[in-house]
Amino acid sequence: MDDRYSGAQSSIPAKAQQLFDEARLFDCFEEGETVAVKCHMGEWNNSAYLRPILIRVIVDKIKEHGGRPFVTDTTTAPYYFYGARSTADLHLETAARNGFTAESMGCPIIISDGLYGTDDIKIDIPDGLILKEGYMAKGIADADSMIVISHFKGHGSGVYGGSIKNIAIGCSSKRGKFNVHMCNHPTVGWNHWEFTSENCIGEECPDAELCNNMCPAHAIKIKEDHAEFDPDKCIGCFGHQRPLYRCDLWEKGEMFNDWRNYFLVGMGDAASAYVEQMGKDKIGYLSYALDIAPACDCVPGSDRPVIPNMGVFASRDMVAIDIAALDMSVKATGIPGSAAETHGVMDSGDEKFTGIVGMSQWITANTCVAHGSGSKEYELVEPELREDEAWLAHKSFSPGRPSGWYLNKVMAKAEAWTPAGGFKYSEKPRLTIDELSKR
Amino acid sequence: MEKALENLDRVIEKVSDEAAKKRLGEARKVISQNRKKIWLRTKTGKPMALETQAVTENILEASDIEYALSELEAHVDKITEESRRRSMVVT
Repeated sequence: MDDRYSGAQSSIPAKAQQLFDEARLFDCFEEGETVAVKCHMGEWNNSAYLRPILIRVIVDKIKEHGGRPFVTDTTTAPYYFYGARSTADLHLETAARNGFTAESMGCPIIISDGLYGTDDIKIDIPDGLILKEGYMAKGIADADSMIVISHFKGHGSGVYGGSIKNIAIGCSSKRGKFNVHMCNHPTVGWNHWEFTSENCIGEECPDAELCNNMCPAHAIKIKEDHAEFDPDKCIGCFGHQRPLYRCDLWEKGEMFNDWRNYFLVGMGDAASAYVEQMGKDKIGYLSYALDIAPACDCVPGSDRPVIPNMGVFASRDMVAIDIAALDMSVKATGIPGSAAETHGVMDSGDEKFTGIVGMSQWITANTCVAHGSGSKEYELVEPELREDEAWLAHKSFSPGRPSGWYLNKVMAKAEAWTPAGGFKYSEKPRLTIDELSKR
Repeated sequence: MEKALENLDRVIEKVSDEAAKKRLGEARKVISQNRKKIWLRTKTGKPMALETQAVTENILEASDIEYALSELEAHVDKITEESRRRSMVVT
């Protein structure tokens, strides 16, 4: 359903609730079952993440159908050195700062891989295209079912972010994330790339202290006029991307491109394995294609959206829902001055995210299709808006008891509503409307 | 980069056309904002810094200001994009 507003029934939260019912996402759980509501609560200073109300309305729907929801995410790898979600306590603090609390969600918020992200289950992936195992956050794996609420947008590593990535990375524990990012892959992993130590300007760099401390395994050291890197110490946390991207401390050759593409395949492997673990019929998907920034909600800021809002999608298939949004993004026209313009993918028909990121936006979905965990075939059904409004309102309200009904009790105290003798006005404005209408 | 800024200040003082002056001012702003970027001091960044100086010297000596100005603008666009790319965080 699109993002246009034409009355209460057409608000984004209303459409999300309607789609929850239309797509029968309540079929994913039985009464009394726990329902993990997997979402992203935004990085510190990101501003494009999904507004809390967009999650809350789904929590309410789950409760209405007898489920026991908990909002959840997992700890992150130290991708960004000041990223504030790498431990559960930091993550919850960041979530609260972004408006996500148990009170605003109407249910508990649980970081599902524990305080430091070590709480997981190992899942073998014998038929993985590249991964041979995955590490799923235990809190999510233990839940009876899951509703995956995703923010559809671009992504620097994943090309785009949607339902598949929300599962592949979002449901991975910390080591699960290290595993999928493949920095320690035996042939294309980061620790095999040529390290060009002399590119570092050494201790005179204002960031020398930061670079000395950013690696949890102390694999990188800044010396007087160069840097040193110990690949044997590297745990593949993807933490030292600042010296990679900014200072070219690692040679970004052919292995770099392979590594980036293999990550996309790895995500498809992991997502498929986690879906199989939980059971395909126990998961429902809802995606908001709003504030479609070129990068993830994990980054500490949000660039101008690359295409206009597309609306809300719901499905029981993680591949179909992503492909539907991707297809729609291809048809869209880019937003002037955005990354779509910078990368020359403004026209309808251009693959926006392929163009912006420089890798195919279809690889991860195709990997999932190879696993049989979803389908690229879909039918886009746009339900008619419901006529009535009462179902959207606060539960205190009904046609018999709208807001005026509650205020009526105070009407006897007329003084509370209007001053004695009524409000005082001039007959007309002292300046004419014509005068006031000028710039 | 400091030399490049000095060069641009001299050009801005010399040019009388207001539109060209405005464009020069915008290019100067980009160079000024990026002049302390660490990547411009690394081995791979230094050529970009040297090129910045060369482009501003061209415009200082140019008889065809429009051509040299376009060259300068293309160069500052490259600096902007490179700085943006090098500051990115991917997850």
